[in-house]
Amino acid sequence: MKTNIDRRTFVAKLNKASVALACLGMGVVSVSGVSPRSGGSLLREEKIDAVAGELYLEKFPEERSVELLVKKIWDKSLEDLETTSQEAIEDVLCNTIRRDFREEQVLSLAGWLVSRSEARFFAIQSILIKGI
Amino acid sequence: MIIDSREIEDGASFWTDVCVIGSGAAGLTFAKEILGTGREIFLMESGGHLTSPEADDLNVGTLEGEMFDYYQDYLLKERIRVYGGSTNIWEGVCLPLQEIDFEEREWMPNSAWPISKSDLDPYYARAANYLGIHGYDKSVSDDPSPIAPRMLPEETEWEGLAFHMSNQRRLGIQFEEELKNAENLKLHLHANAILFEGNENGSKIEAVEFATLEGRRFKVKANLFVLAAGGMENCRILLNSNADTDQNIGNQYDNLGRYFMDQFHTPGGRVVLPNPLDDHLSYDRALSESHGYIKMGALSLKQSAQRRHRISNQTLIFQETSKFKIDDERNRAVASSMPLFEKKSVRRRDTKTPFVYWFRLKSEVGATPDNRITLGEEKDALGVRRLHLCWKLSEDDRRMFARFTRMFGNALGEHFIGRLQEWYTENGKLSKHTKGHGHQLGGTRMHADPRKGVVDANCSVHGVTNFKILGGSVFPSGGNTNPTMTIMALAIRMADQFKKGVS
Repeated sequence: MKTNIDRRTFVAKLNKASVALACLGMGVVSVSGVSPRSGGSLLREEKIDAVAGELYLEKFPEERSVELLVKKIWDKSLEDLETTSQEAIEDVLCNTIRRDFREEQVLSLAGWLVSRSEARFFAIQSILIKGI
Repeated sequence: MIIDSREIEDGASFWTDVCVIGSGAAGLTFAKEILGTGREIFLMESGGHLTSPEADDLNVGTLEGEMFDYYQDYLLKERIRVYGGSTNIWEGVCLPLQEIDFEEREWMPNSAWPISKSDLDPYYARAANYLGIHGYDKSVSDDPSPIAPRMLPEETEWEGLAFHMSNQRRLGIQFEEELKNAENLKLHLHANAILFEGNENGSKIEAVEFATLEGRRFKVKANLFVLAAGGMENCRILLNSNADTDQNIGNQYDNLGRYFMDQFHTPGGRVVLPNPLDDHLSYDRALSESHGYIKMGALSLKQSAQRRHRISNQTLIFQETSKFKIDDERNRAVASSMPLFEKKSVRRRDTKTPFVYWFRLKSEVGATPDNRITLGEEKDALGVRRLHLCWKLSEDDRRMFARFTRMFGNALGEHFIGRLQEWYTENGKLSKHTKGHGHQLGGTRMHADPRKGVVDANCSVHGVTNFKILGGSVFPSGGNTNPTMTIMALAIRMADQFKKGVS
């Protein structure tokens, strides 16, 4: 599947978003007194995420569209997302995941409980890897 | 003094002040507590100092319900006929019931106790002293209670529970020397209670008949009888006493044997975390000796959250293990697809695997009258009808188990702490590892209204002046913790009441 967005630009943006997400998450709780450190990026393991994304798309084949998935997560078009600040992208993604869990917008992928937005995020990567 | 009842003359009859039937946690504690009154006590135990196949066979019965699909030995493995009773096989996990466990909760059928936790608090502290655990009785020790573990932020609906693990749990051994030397106590071994004999109108117990496996029978008459033979055996003895007679002891309103409960115990799922659990939460890691006892952590919903969500009292107990590797690629992919797991710097050395823990779900179940102990047709070696136990989960029970696990997974996700895989599902088949906890509760339930219970708030059998019952069978609801500490607290409370009466 072809997408209009330049993959490198988009992936870079999501990559940054995921790093921010990770840092934010670690800031919430320090389990066992282990000091969290930032670093790494989600999309370094994009192939793993893509597998998870594919599982989602098997359940919801009608969502096999980056445009649609971006719209559902960020409520924006791809073009608008391009012009959105990095911080805003991160905030929305993070808050949407939180809200999903709070409002039980969750589903089971291979038995694991994931938020709908997380799953869509993985699905975007699955499409990008396969489609570009 | 210890008496081998197998040497008592057949047909003999004895009189004593107090006859306590059963030398488990309840009977032993009560007997020890009233030693100082000077009243003569008979402490009657079905077994001896060692188990025997012949005594074990008396526990054989029949089971009904899916909870036993994978646990056909429930009646044999979870009970023991030996001096000290189940304290000989108990792991020693101690925690008082919580306030909510005593409350009437619309969503938990028949859940109200006629007493509150504050009624039992002083006795919990004294039970803790017997068990060698600290933090309950400040007059004995200033040691703090075990540190409640933390996994989720304080502002969430979740809280840690801290169990004590008693290393003084073998009460029979602990008390034996004192009981043996007491001038006013006779410990009868190998004495099986088979029949309660009431007076004409059933308002008083006249005598209890005992039998030995060698075929001898004798009677004990007493001012007070305390039945503490174990959660299920309490019911069986009384049901047999009423069967084929015109007696109806403890069963005026058909409550005897009903409302049986155990706690639901199953592998609930697993979690993947970027960091190891709090040391106090991980079962294996928590085996650290401190002040002579061991601590074990668990996680539960705060009581306020239980009320808000109308859910049963449940706990999650974690165990880190390498046995539960995530082998399947798709499975691993989802488990690993979490931003937090990119924190390779906090992963364990030499592995990219995040921390995986499986957790057990230990849950209260509802008390329903159809879950019950009845008598089978077959008789044991003493001529007593064997027990039949029916225990089935209700749809509400199942819904609440699934809901609890889902709520935990949501909380982990919302706070970016980890990811959860559910093993127990509402409509799914039970895991082959599912079983009861061996905590046999209900059957002679406590209720202020004789139409709704067998014993009153003081564990006195409704309508009978000299008959009390102790043990898990009096619990109207079970909570999410091991019952022994509560059983002992009830025994101490009853002993205090007895002592007041004597004085």
